[in-house]
Amino acid sequence: MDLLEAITPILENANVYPLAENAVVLDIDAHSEIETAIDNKTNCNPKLNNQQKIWWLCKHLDKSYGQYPALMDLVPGMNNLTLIFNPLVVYPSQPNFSNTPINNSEHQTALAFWTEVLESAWREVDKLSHKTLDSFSGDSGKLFELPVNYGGDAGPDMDFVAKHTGLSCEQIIAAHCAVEYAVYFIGFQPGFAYLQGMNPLLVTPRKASPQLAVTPGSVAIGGNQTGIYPLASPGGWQIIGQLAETNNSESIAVKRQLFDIKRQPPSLLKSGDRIRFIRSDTL
Amino acid sequence: MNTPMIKVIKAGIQTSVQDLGRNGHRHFGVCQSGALDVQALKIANSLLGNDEDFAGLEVAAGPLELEFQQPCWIALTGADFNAKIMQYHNGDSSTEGTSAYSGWSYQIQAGQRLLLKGNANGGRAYIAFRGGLDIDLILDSRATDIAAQFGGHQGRCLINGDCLNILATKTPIDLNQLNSIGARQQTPEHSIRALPGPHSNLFSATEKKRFWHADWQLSPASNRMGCRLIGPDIQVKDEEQNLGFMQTRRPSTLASHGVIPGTVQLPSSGQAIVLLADGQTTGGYPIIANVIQADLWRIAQLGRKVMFRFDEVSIAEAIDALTNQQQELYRLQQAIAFKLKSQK
Repeated sequence: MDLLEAITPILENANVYPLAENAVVLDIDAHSEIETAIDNKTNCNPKLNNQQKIWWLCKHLDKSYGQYPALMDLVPGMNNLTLIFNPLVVYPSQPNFSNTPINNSEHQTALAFWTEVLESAWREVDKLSHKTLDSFSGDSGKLFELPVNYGGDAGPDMDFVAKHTGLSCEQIIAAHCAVEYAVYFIGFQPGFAYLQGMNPLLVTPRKASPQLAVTPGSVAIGGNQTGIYPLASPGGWQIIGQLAETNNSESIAVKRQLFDIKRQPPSLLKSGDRIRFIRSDTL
Repeated sequence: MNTPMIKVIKAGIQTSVQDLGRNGHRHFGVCQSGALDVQALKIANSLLGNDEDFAGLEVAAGPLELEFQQPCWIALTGADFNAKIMQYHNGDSSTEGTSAYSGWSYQIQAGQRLLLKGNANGGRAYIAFRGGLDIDLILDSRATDIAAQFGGHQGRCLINGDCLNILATKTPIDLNQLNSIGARQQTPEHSIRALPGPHSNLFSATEKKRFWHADWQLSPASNRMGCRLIGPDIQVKDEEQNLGFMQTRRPSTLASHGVIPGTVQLPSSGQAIVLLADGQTTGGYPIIANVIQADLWRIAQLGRKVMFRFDEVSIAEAIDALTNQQQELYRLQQAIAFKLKSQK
């Protein structure tokens, strides 16, 4: 029996498929974004709604199954979620998720089990209204106001971005600070937040070859995304500023704090949080 | 005790403290880390009566030379690095020494040195220490996260002059009267079993055939994050509408998704990369295949100039292979435990 075929039942607006024998992926259909936009004209950000479903899934799967030693990781991505598990643990019967019976058979493979977990969780979240989803992220998402030193030595690539976008440095800074960004997920390296919401006018291509060592705390633009490098690492994004250290104790903009192994959790930002950049010279 | 147990005389290249790695932190971008050849580290620990997840050393290239200030039992596994246990007198190590082989445990006396010369063919050697290395647990593991600079010994690979300590052990087995014991290890193979990846429909039948039929080699630019492969260029199909995913940048870039050790991704350069234990947590390149968990160690132990192929298997076969591997390891561990007890 081919397991790949056996475990692919019909699911609306999302696909659940194995990544490998120890990982299963839920991927929200790209076209469902368009439907969402038509359904709800008041919501200007349909992609965010889909990502809110991912956050909801993470939270509720963690709540229901977080204590299972066989569940090793829940990794949110861009409109997708990867669940990593121990493939050798076979479950005798089903635990309940929102009182939905999962399986009637006596036992099943770990892959089949986790696939069904994801599918039934998706059926739950797909029923939620946009209002419920909005309030969900509103409740859990913390707003961080991060002061940034823009341009000059702190932002060596500011001139390149200005040249590429045709905007002045002032306009770039204003546009970069005007938006409240959503932390879609943390990935790539410890504490690195994938932010959503950058003004399309700021889109600037990455460097042809990555810079070998980017200073931690660098604020940068790469393609249609903006982000902060938490660690010294190679990086190909255009650096427009540096997180500033301020005397304001409420401000957490101490560079090394984006990722700190002594803190629980170690990443300052988590998916669902919000960020606003503030130019430090106005503080 | 004030004197350190082990002094690093020569650190070798990319020698790092590793255990079985950390899980449950990927949503914060924290990678798995841990021994690339997990079986080797587990066997080395078992030979000493250690728990299988105790921290030891992973050695990517010699020469590594350790000086022991106190007597200690060690075990060597993984690639054979032409090891010797040597007496050391007044700044001049005796060239005589006793050979020490991979797959065996050895007692080392105070003042003796352990030298791992290296293996011209590559691969990785593991050293376990009776009691395990005394390293702080960070995010539930003692493994070194080299890129993020935490875990292990000061968040980095070993350098000359480092000092390491060993944890005291309270397990009942008394190893003072023991003889060296050995364990048969898995033989490295040149076929790597893999599952077709979730994005394999982005590749034409011809490109897929090229991937599964080609002879591949590891690039010298490989490290614990990933192996770059030398072989044919594999390109995704041109038509953008084939990407059934939210497209972000280039046609060959998908919406970022979770990746795992074993993921074979294809950047737009067309040169395949196999992600390993230190690989990033999310990526945006198409995944053409995933190396099965049971064969991850084979990638870690592939020689530098060895040609290898990917062998396409099903998920059921991947699970069977992992089950067999676990059962064999369990039997071996039971046999070792019996041997250790009966020697007492």
